[in-house]
Amino acid sequence: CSRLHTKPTFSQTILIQGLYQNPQINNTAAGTFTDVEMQEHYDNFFEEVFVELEEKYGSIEEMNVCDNLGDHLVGNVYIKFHREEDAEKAVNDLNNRWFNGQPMISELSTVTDFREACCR
Amino acid sequence: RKTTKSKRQYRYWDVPPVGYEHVTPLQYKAMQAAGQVPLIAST
Repeated sequence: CSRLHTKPTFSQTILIQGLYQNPQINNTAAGTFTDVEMQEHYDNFFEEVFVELEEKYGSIEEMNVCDNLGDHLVGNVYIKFHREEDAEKAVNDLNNRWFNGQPMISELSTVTDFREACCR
Repeated sequence: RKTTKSKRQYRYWDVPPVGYEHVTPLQYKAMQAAGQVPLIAST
């Protein structure tokens, strides 16, 4: 795949690039994490993102975090809103917000069915 | 749901990189594109 995907003008789904920092990948602290700690870390992240997005931008149909280790995918978060307007509002606003010491990088995505989400 | 809305303390949201609290995320990304700040800042 050339990764030169066409970007939609309207979509219910947004992509936030590299939002989830897996502590086992960017492991600067000494020691490793147990499965329970990893799950807890992930759950906290998921809840914090989900709650804020839903409160601020609109109701969410589905949210997925990429656990794929491919450089271009790792930590990507896909959020499908119920309404296209909410997705648009979210993308515009998120691009000017910080998250965990980084600027957020957000765009509309063509993905509508996450089980079919594969580049062809 | 609205009635239970609380001022929760977030761990990740709206946390700028240390030393760049005065710039906006948009400005910061422009600075990254111009090579003025590293792509991954140490936080």
